[in-house]
Amino acid sequence: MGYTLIIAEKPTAAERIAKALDERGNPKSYDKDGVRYYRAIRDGRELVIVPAIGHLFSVSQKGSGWAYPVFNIKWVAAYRVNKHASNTKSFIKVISKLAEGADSFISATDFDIEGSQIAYNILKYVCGPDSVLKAKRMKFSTLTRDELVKAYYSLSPTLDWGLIEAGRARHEIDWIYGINLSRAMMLSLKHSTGKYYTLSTGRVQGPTLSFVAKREREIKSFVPKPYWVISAQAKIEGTLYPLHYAEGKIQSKKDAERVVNECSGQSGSVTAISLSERTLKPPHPFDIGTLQSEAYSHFGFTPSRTLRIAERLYLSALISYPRTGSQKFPPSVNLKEILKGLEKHRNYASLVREILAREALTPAEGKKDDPAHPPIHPTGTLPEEQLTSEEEKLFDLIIRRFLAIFGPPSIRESVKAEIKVASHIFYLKGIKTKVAGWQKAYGPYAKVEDKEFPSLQEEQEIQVVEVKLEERYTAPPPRYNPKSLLNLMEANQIGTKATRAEIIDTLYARHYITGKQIELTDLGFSVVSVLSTYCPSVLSVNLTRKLEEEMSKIELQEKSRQEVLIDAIEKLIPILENFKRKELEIGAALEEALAKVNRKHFVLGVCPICGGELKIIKSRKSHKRFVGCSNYWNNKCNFSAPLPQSGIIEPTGKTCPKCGFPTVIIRRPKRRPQELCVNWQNCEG
Amino acid sequence: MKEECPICNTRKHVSTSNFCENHQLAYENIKKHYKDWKAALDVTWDEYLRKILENANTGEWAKEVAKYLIENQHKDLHDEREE
Repeated sequence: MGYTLIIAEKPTAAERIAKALDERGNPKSYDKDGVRYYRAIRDGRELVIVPAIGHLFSVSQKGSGWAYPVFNIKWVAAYRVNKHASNTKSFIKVISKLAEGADSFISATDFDIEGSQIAYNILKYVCGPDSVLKAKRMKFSTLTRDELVKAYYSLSPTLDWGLIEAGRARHEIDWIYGINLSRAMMLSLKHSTGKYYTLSTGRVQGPTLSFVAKREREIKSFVPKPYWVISAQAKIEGTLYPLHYAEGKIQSKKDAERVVNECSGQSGSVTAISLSERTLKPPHPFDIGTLQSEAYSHFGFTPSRTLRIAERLYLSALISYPRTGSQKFPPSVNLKEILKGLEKHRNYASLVREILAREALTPAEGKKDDPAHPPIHPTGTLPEEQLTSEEEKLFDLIIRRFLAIFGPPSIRESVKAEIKVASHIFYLKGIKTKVAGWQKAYGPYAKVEDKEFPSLQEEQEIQVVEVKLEERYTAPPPRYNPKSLLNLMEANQIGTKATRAEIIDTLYARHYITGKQIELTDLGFSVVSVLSTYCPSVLSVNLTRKLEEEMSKIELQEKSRQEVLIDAIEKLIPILENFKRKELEIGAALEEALAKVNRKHFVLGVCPICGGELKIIKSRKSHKRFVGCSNYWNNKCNFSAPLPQSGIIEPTGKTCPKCGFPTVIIRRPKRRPQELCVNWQNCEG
Repeated sequence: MKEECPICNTRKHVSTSNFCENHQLAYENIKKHYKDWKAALDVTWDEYLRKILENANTGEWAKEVAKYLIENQHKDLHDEREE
């Protein structure tokens, strides 16, 4: 009799599953070629638990050649096509060997598109096609012992075909779009100019980049408008309180000056006092988007960093599965047990006791639902080992959010006094928390600011001091940051909760965007400019959103993978045909754009000796970089100067005030940027 | 009319426009906002251009256009401004 082979998504998950399923909680572990697997016994049956290490298989081109269009694809072992996936080889080898002795199979990867896909590929290509039909599915949202054992005894009799097919379609469509569009751009450049440059775009990358480009254009072409604000202060019983001019912004300097002149030196009188209350409902539980958003606001973590930390907490069985879109708790989650677990933590004990003392546990909920997983929540298990600082922060945020959802509403009280100075109205405002409610549990993450308000009566005379005029200017719209860009992708329904953060990282890796306050680079501008001129649909949100909708239909088994794939290819063909038709024009436009980018990177400015151009040049012999003059080849100027060989050198566009030579910025890791005059050997500055 | 933008030498999108697409967008914004500055501060076109050139909130392309317009006042370009 054989054993049951259980496939986990990651090594840590395999260990947790093995420990949970082994009746003694002490499975035997084996190490083969760096792959640790486990043998456990349950109900007299031998279970072998083996991990994957994420995706072991990738989409690849059928046949050879570097051309486009390419629609013939196949799934191959990841290590064959990706040099960074060499570690997957030993996993495939070990699983293949273990599959020989197995007579039944269980997919115990994460219950989502990617997880289902990982196990399917292993079963199909490593364990043999029969295993796909025999395999059962173990579904869980936390890696706690109780839930894993429960999941083992309530296996789905078949694999989750909706998720598998949707996952396959997503990988195949993304590969087809990414490869074809990127090759189309690079080959346009090559066929037009003979030059090679790595460029890429994709189904989600294009529209995301176009969001950044649109904002960048608004900022770069922004013309501010002047306006004036009037501020004053009221002195009441020796304390100064700010007064706000009721009309707000004033658009003309003359009008603003008139108000200041009329109010200066005058006292005011209280004409009305109004009181209002605002009820703030408790927040909904975390889905991945709101967790990423809050973690960015409070800790400055990028969305991808938050996801990585959350995955580590999940693998430590401290929180539930993080890649969820749900904001509603299903009845199957035992909220009381989780709270009891958290009660053992001294930081949360008193808050938990308050919640448990209430008659009913009714968590707040949001609009979004995800049938696969509940919202992100603590499991009630406390850390066995010391968490890293970033893990501690995120864990605290998740616990406090979980506690806050049970809280009563918070009530804020506002007071506004209307004060008449000459014929002008000013407001004195105050605000305070009347009932803390859920904000008590959310602690430092609940944004509350109180404003002190004096005791006042109607018709009371007020001493007004310092009536001031301030000239201000309208500001351009803010740049996106990784959090707001991710929110925008979510609002436009492009990408998935699992891929959005990764797409933003890719834009950084391609040097299309830079900085925490995201700025489009010259290269990013060039790519958007060429795509928007010659094939705007690649940047269109509609095209990618439509494809997302179609892929969701596969998940719901309303459409087949083949139908959606054919439809996606049919949408891509005219775009690629257009590329082919305009290849020379596109190539020339890309070359012009790249030349501009290169020029900006390598041309430093005017040579003060001969009027030529000073450039960063790389020696063919020594491969070292230095500054040289463009007139060297005409024998008119022989200026040259050495440059540091490490770090990134950026032209500043400025000249040295001492010698008139251009200056550069040297950026090195872990060091402050250094501004350097290129004539540093002779310059006195 | 030249085929290239006089500021960045990029090819113009529309040959009849004064600048490339980006600088033309900035130029349109400069023209559009003059009436607000005139109402607010009663400034002349030249004073307006100098003020936006110095302003920290003005975008990079708008500054380049303002600088170009200041340096090329003899050209007919700024007669298109909206007052």
